[in-house]
Amino acid sequence: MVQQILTIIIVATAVTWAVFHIIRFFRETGKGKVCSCASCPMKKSKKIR
Amino acid sequence: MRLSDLRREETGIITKVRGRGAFRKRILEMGFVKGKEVTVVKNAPLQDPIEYNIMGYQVSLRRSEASLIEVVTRQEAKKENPNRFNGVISDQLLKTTARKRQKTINIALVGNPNSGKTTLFNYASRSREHVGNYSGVTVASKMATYKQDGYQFNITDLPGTYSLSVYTPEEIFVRKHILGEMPDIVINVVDASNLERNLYLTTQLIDMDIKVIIALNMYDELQEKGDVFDYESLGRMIGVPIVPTVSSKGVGIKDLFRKTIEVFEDKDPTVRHIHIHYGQTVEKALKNIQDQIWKNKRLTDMVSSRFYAIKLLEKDSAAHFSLSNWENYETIQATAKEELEKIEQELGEDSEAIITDAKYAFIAGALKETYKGNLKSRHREKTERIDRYLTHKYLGFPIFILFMWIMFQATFKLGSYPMNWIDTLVGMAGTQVDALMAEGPLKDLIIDGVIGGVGGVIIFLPNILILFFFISFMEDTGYMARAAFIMDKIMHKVGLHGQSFIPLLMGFGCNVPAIMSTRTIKNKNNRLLTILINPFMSCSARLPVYVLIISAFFTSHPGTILFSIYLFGILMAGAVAMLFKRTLFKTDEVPFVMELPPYRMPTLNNTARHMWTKGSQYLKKMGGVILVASIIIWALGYYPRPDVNKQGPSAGKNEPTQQLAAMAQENPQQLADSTLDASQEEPSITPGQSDPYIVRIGRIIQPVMEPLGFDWRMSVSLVSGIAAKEIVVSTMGVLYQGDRSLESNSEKLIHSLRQAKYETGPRQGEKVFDLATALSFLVFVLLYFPCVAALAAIKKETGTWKWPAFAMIYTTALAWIVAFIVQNVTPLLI
Repeated sequence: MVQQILTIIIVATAVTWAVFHIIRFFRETGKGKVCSCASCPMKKSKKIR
Repeated sequence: MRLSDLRREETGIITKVRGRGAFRKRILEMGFVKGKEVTVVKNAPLQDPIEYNIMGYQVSLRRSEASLIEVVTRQEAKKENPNRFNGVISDQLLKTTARKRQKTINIALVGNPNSGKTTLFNYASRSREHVGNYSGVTVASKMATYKQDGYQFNITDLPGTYSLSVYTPEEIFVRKHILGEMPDIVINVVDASNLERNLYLTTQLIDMDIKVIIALNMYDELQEKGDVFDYESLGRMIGVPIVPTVSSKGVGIKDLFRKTIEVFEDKDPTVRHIHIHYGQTVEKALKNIQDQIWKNKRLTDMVSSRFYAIKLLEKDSAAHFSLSNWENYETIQATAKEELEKIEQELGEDSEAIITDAKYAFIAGALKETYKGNLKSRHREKTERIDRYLTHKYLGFPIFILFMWIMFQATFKLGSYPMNWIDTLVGMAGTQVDALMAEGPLKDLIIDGVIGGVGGVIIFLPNILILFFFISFMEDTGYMARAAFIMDKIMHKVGLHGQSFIPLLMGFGCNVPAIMSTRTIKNKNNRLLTILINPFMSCSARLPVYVLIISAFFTSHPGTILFSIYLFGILMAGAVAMLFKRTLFKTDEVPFVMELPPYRMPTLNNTARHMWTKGSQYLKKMGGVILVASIIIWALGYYPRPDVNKQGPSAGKNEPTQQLAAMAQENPQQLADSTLDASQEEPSITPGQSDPYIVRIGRIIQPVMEPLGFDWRMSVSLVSGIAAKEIVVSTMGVLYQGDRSLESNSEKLIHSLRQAKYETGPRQGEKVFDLATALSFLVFVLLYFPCVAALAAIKKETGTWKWPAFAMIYTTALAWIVAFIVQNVTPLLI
């Protein structure tokens, strides 16, 4: 029973995390702000245009 | 806050006075100096000018003038000192805050490409920005802070430029930053081994009449040559202090910032504004144009009129654009045109060339007095000697291919040792959890989901580090630029420039920075083309997939197969570029000179930093997106649970994915009936009701992938790889669960892959992976759908969703077609 509850919590957290990041990705790339990639060199930097 | 932003009766303490020339002098004389208190008395009826009280007398300033004075207010002091705020901001606290602000210096790092700005920036700010021995590594500005001697330095690292004209986006960007952001000090990083060319940019900074300090970087190379350079004399001559530095070793950095403080506080006697003499005719023309520009006091308070006048004579479109907002622009334009014609008629040469010649003559004159040595250094001679072989007409290309082959051999062979150690550790973790935990869903989640998924990917960390070691070596030695040079002719054949090859090579690391680095490509169509073919360069995220499949099915020549996959990616990029160039992007070739920097010995520090950054990014991915994806994939394979009442008591104990895997090996017919054929009436797992969600998803995708020889688990793995390519491996780790009794994690997975059988379709019961399927899977992973981060980068660089959507569709379509050909042609060849 405890295992089941913990499993459900972990899976639900993972799904929430994924949904949150998908939404953030579209919001931020839509605004042309920050890339979600961990290796993105554009973080906190200005863009040449 | 700017003084112009203060409200009526609000008080602030002056922290900085910007502006230049006569304005700055006048404003300082009036008492607007650092540390003085100033209060807004009232605004004129049209909000301009504003009356201020300073040192007990009233003075009015135009809003534009007041905007050049920085102040700190009580509100700001409150925000900056939340712990010391007890209801009322005392004068003392306000003054302390002001003093702190007065000791903040905004710095811009400006210099030629590859002069070592980012190395200096990294050393000073302990940042880990990417550096390399080739032009155009920094493609955007980076900011960091550094503290020394009680001062705070806000440093902005700008992209490298050869001049401040408007030829490239970088030049426009740097110029805009200097004129718009008005940094307190510009540090001009000059490569000591290439003084003449580097000082050209310095002459333009001198024209701008701003506070400049020269960091004479790589000074050790100059000393090694035995040259004598009286940099102090040169500094006095041009009115710019010069500090020798070796930024890769941190030599001279403290002195550089000490000098910055002196210049900022106007305590350095070297600083003075000089005029580079362009000859009588040009000087006369400059004066006439300046006379017109001076009529706009508000403009000349901020920017040097001489700088604009020179730019107008250089036919600089950005200068015209900036001046077009001012009232007498038409007169300025007419005067400039008239003077231009006069100069060109009188001197019989293009005015731009006349000014450039004068600048170089000035530099040559200055160096003649201060520099004694070989202009052609021993360092250069060494470089030329090495280049005789590495860029040789016939030898250059085979050497490049050999280097690449060694890189992939080492990635595979050397990587296999630490890989086995990690693998054993992961396997041990699984065995321990299996022994310690009671049966249940959490145990299955940890063993099959987390350890099976994340553990399956983490073992490839050594391969990634070795690959990045080689990429870092290529970048730091200067071989990257040579590789582009060697490839130039081939790139021309496919309609691109050798310059496009650097972003493509960088794509071996990660496609995102590679796509961004295309900004150095001048021609818009060439840039777009390079962006679109970049996903064919196998990024490090795809490496785990290759290594897994190659380890399982190509055991005789793994390194060569890995090399061939990368080479195939390059060939496909070339073929697609050729096709697009002839259809979508028809343009003429743009001539461009490619710089070949001197060879430099890479520093251990930089290489280690590069590898560490990539390694930590990889580990972060493990704890983030890959862990989450593994859990979700596991859950999709685990739920819904079979109905215990219908299935009998044993059904609830085994999770379906494991059950499916076992069934697939023992009796594929039964599994096919139970999972994928909805028309059957008595399957062991009722179709549609108790099938795991992942099977249902697999069933939807399967018809599309079946012609390529992929089973549903491969198809699902490929779909999950859209988020990040490593997830293909973690998903396979979860879906092809093997025998838990096997100790090594990768051994389990490889064993499962070798044993996997088709569960449906015409090849039902046959093994999924033969050489043809394994090859077509490798090719599909190489070519299909760029990951979401790469798509975001394409969107950012092209400014529209049209191109990422196009990249998404054409790469996947191409992947399907090529994989189909490979699947059907390979059996004929073997």
